[in-house]
Amino acid sequence: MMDLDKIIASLRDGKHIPEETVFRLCLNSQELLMNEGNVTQVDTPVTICGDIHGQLHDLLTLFEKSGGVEKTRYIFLGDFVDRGFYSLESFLLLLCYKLRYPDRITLIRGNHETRQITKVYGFYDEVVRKYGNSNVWRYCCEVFDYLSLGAIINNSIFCVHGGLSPDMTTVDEIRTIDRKQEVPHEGAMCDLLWSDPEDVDTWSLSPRGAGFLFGKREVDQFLEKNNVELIARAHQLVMEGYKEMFDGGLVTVWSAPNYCYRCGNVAAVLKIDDDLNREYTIFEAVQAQNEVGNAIIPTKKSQMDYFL
Amino acid sequence: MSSTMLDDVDNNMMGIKSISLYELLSDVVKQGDKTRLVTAGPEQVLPDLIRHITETIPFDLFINLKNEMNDARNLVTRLNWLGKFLNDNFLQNHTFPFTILRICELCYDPFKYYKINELEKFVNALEKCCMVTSSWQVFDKTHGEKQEDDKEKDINFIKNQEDVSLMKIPWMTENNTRELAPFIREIDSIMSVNLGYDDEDEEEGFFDGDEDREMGNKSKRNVLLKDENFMVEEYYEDDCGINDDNSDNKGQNCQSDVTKNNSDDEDDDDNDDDYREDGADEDDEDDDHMGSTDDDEDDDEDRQAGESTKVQNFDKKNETPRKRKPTDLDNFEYDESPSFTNMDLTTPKKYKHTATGRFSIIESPSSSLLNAMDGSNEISSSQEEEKEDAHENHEGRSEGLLPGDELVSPSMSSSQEDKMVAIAGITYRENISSPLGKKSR
Repeated sequence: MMDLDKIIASLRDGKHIPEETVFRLCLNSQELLMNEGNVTQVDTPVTICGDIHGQLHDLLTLFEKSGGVEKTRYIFLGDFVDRGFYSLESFLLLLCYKLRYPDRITLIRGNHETRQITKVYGFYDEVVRKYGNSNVWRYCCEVFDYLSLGAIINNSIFCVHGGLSPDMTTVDEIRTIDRKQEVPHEGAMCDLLWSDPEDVDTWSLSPRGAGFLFGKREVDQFLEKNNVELIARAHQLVMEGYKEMFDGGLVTVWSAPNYCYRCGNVAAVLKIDDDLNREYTIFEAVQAQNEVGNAIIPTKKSQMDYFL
Repeated sequence: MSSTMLDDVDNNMMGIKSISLYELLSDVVKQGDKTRLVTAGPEQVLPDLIRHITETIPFDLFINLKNEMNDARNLVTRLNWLGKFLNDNFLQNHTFPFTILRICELCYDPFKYYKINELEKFVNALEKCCMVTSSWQVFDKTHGEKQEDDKEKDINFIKNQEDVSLMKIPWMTENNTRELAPFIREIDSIMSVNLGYDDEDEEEGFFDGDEDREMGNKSKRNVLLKDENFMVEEYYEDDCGINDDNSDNKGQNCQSDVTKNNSDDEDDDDNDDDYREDGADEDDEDDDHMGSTDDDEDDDEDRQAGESTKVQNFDKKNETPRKRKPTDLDNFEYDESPSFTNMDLTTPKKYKHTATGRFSIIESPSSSLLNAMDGSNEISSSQEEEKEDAHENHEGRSEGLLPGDELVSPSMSSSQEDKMVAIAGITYRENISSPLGKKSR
């Protein structure tokens, strides 16, 4: 049924994957993911990657620039899907890599890895467009529910998609969450995926409508309490690809160059070596192509009239 | 190569104690020869592999134990547990874990990935790979691949045909055809509800339950859609309302599409009241424009005629399935319908009416050619008019797609999402072949 190497090759070409194959991929992925804790342990050296958002071609660039999955360990901080045109392929590629190299890829849940968000921001529509039904989307959402909420590298670097939660200030508390569910609208699980760092004195309401804003004080407390030296997160577009805040206690890594095919930003990945040194790799967007080799250009509305 | 292998065997065999395991892992990892695993089978591979994992690797390869490094004993316990896990869950069931390839890679050459004192990282990695329950289904896989290839072949065969509308579809079996019958009926009901405009002529031929023809239509449109470079996101955003605006044109243009390649335009029958009304309206417009026409327009007209000649030639040679697609099938249906004889029955007055009506259809390139050839003195619409109508036609043609789009998925309603689905061009084959898809139906 499955030759992962072949599926990976197809995915890299953006080819269609049969529904049944996706189903098997998702089932097997769940098997791997359910063994992982809410905060999964990762060894150095490892490369931390931020949001992908369905930009398959840029994901391929990422692997190319950062050594490839055969040679490098990766943590992806979530938001694999939505917004880009290849959400499904991007997510499946990551799943396939995880199935093929379970020790090389760690996937963390982002705020877009939920049913509600993917219905609105493109992943659901993409699946329905590509398969004529939403089955594949449902399989993928099942996998989303199993994704870890965070990762900890050598017990020293805490990785999460969004940020901290006022409800849970230690990693051990986070380990107690029952994560196998749709991301709730409030509570620690929601906050970890939605919060943002900001220059605020204390926990503040987030303009996103979910999660909180937290400042240097909260970050310092968390670092000290959990004996970690860095919080690595994604979730926010950074034009330079990465941004360190709070005296290097927190870093935002963003790995979707030219976000939404129009933001003009560069992307970055963060490599952590055995001595926990940080090394950033910057990369730029490639011109995306569709399956017949035509460039994908952000369209003007007039182009659509033809199909109406 | 054999000499180096011999050397390896003589020297260290990557530290692997069993020669057969060493050769097998070497083939699997270095040559990528997965069939070796299949031929050897779990009974031959796993016992040696488990021994390698639980004894050789911690005691002979990594130096943690020798140096009495911290937690080394604990790591051995974990490895023993993994060995037991593999034995209980896979060897006893005569299967491999689905991650067997990665396990082989890690065990064949741990030091490709880990330093000699990083036994803990190695155990972490191996744990992630071993702690699964699904087995490695290699036999299913080869079978599935074969099917995939066949499917690919079929599709390529279709793609290479220039006109697929009348072709028997190679993968359609009698069974498939029978299974499709209720589906076709369902489409019929959807279509009759969804299309408000007059298209009885179209429907007669179009949905007479002839699956082969519909499938032909389907795959051909997929060819069409593959060529398009379009963004579906935008499509979503602004399609509300436009349908309504165009609904009049839609009806009319569908008609014009249907008739434009017909050498005999006098196929109007009594069903087509709307169509004639529209024709009359446009006729009025034409008159207005006639007043403002000057000689330059004749050149334009010639050029247009030339272009339309090209287009028509394309139509004849079937060189551009993309362009002719929406009209082609309609035309094909029309050839069958016995409507031509109406001309004999038409009263002179009516005849004239339809003649002018014809002009309103004419903005489709191929029929304006007819006018040019007639040397008809009706030809004098301004270029603007031409453009406008061409645009309308354009839209009309794509409108014409939509009814057909409903064919794609049985579960579709008329919502915009579903239209998008159709446009994305998932082949129907995939829909029906997927057991999962069937489940949901």
